[in-house]
Amino acid sequence: MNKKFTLAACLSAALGLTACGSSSDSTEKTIIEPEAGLIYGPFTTGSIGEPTFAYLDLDTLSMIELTEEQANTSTEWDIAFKRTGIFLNNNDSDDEISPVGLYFTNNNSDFIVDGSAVVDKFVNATADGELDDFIAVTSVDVPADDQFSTDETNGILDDFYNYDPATHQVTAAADHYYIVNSDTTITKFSISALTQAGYGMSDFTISFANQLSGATEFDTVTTDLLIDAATECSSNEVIYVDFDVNNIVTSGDAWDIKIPCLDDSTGADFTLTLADDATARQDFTNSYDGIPVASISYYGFKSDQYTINAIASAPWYKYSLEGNNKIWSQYGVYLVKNANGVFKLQITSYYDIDGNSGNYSFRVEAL
Amino acid sequence: MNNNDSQLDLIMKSTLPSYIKTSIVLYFTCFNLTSLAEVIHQASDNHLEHIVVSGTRTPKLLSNSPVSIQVIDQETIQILTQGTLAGALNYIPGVVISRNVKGGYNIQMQGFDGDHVLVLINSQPLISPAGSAVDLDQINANEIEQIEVLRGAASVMYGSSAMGGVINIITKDYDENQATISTQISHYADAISGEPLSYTTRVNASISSDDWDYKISLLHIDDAGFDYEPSTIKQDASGMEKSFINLSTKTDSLNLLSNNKVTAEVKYQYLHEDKSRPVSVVPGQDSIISYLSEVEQNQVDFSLSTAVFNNEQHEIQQGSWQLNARYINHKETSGQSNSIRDTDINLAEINGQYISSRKELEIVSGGVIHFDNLEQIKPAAGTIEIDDESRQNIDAFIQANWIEPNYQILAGMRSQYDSDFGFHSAASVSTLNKFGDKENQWQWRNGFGQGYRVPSLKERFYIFDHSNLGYMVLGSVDLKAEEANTINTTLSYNTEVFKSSSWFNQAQLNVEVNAHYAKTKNFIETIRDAEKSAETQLDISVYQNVARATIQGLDFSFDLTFNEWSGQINYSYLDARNEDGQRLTGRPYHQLKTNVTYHNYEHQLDVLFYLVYQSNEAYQSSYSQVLNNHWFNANININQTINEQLSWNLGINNLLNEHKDADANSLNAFDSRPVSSRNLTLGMNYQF
Repeated sequence: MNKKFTLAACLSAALGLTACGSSSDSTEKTIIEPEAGLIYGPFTTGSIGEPTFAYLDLDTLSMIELTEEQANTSTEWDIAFKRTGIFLNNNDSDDEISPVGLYFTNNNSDFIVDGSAVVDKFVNATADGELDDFIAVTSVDVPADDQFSTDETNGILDDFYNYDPATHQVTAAADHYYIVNSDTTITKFSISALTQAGYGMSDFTISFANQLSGATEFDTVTTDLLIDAATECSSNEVIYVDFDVNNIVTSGDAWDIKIPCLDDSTGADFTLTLADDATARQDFTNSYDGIPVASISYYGFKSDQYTINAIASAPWYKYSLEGNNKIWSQYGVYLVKNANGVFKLQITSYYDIDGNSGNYSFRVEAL
Repeated sequence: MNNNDSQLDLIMKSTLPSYIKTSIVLYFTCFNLTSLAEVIHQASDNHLEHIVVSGTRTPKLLSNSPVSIQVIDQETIQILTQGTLAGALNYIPGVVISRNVKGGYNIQMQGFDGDHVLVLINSQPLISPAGSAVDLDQINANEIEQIEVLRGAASVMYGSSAMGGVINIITKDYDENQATISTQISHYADAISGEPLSYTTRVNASISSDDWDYKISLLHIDDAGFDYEPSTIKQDASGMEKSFINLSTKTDSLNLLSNNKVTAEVKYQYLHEDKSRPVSVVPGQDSIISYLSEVEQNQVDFSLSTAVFNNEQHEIQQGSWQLNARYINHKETSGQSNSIRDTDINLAEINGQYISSRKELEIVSGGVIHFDNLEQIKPAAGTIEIDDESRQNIDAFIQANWIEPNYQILAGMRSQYDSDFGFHSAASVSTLNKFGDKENQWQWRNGFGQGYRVPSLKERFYIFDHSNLGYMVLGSVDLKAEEANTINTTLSYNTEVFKSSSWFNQAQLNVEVNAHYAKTKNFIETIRDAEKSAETQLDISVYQNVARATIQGLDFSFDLTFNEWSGQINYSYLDARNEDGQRLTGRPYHQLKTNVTYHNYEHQLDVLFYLVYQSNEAYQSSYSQVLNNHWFNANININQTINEQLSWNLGINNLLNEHKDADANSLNAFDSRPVSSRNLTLGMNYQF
């Protein structure tokens, strides 16, 4: 299964946005001369109502103007900023250049104690005061390549099977449960059995239990839906399943998941895809007997394709530390690796001088 | 001294029981008076039992009012505040005052917040700048003759949204040719460096010419604000400049009707308010974000009325009418300097009433046409938060008061047609029973009222977009109207004590116990919308109806009045819960308000000391810790009249300097104490 998707596609899926703007191939560059400790910016990421991306090319230390459509395939930019999100380029390129990687030096770990922000540190920190932290990071601090993280895009319904590389045998991962929120019904399911046939499945069984509207737990009785993929794929290109009706349906129905057929129509591919209007989460520890509908947003339900941003493991800011809805930078120094080298990055502000949010200022320097 | 004054003087010096004295005085007081404000003014001047108008719209002795009313008179208000109403309301028992994020003040009564407490001036509503609750800091205390506080939904006169009660502010009547000038300086214990003093200046003048009276009142407040932590950028209270201009004119001699003189009055008020308060540095920048607010408000009132009293028969006119019109425009530019919003609010109302009075029966009937309009935009972001929305309603009401010597029944019905919510009717019934003898007077008042409030324009149409910071607050056009049933029962006992004591002078004792209970349906609150939040990946709160809530409480009052001294102890207990049994936030379980006043006739000296204690306020579970949930506030105010022209006043508000911890917000901690600072005031008043 191809787990690599374009950044823009992932973002569009995650944020529900569509590409827009000119289809021109031309790009415009603003070259910024590097200078030790120089603060670049502020660079806008649009307004509240119309957020936009700001793209940074580390090789030239310049901001690049791209449409989202261009950025979907461009390998020219390295880091994109959009409101509080920071994204790394993981587009394929003709040169098979590795995706951009990120490493957090954790140079100012005293800003966080026992997992909580030290408010005074954040609120009283200034760009000038944190310059030494930036300067202190040198090429000596660059770790091995495998320490860099990339933005990874995954399918929420991935890993429903086990693959044995020694025997090339595929078996069902029956204990890998998925919880799907679709069409007012919440469903917990796993692929409890499958029969491998070459590069696909000749049949498989979906075991599921629904939590119907108004209920607080999944049905205690599990329904097994055996799908004869060989037969279904002989006359269809895709198999659609609707948990509400406990059966295979057509593309025009309110389906919840779909399984594409192999090109030779002999069976189904090892791919589960979630409907666009549905969300899901994994429950590989089988921890949930039900999902409280009122607080479902706290359970981490995601769309079919989702991106885990590298920066999520070391967030660059804390929010509303004084109860006034402000974003405070931790002034952490990140190392960013692209095909041409390693750069250090320190975000100094999310605001322009008038206090308008979504305007990034940062220090950046090649190591 | 005219003939009436002589008779009043004789009555007051007589040995008649006080309730007979006051009744007779009311009779004479009413003689030759035409307006309710005049009646109240005269009674107040003579230090008699208060006369109230809010329950029935006809003047009644407080002890004869069929609904329970508390009164704060002009003298007390003058001692309490030289500025706005906010400085006086914390004195009123059972009223919870809170300072809002804009630095204004909102009110809570019987567990109902400001959206459900009607604040009226001369029985007509005011603009609510936040889109719902009236800011008490935008009401000029200088113009107040008397404040009448009705608890619960006891009267249908003012709209059924008054589930918690009504605060009716009666403005001063016209004095004959005179002028006063007053000035006051004050100092906060936590004064901002370089801004040690605040200033209040006011000028009043009244002129009578032929058949017309004219009045002008100017008030300017220059408040420096205060700051608990000078080392930080953030200030805790805004520096503020506020100006009021009040102009009015009245005549009692219009000959519009052949058999009755008509009183006509026109009033105009201009308010300008400027606030500025640094709240934060811009993170990562050298600049500062401030909370800014500039308000400009224009209010025009016009009224026509006939006399309430028949001067020849010495009783309430068999028929009298009143027609009032009010227009208010409120323009506000406010918010943090990086997120300024423009708000434009309009209110227009015409109401009319006819009072029909027979020996044992008074009937007040009338109608209201009301219009609200609200627009709110953020010019810099180009976003519309409320898109020029309007609503209208037409109300009709009738209320009958059956009066017998020992009991009264007050029953009313109000029907409303709202442009968006259609027809609805609400009823209320109150009773008064008097028993005991002249030395042991008991009064038992019971009231049942239906409340009904259509959602405000803000609650329906608001789009507060902070999606850049991860959250939004949205109005909901699907909201239903709120409904409530409230019950109040009040038992009062009045007697004279220490009549034969060698230790104390004779005193008047009044003890009162009030219990209230309310069941609400479709209460409107902001609630996190899980579905919208999941869909947008933002924290989205939406105005929604809370199915049911129950509010119940107990008020106890003990009042002892000597010739020169008086003291009062008031305790309120409140329990307010939603249908899941969770307490409604922002409401304290316990409140104690007590005061001692001293009046020295020889030196014309008034001293007022009062304490406020609140504890166990319900708070949101999102706080990580509790710093304080009980507090005391002590205040002392002194007034002395030196001669007919000159008087002075001294006050220390928040004597103990109890205030919210400066770090509470940054610690995400709950602290129930008010944002306040000890304030020393010194003022002079000169009358020409």
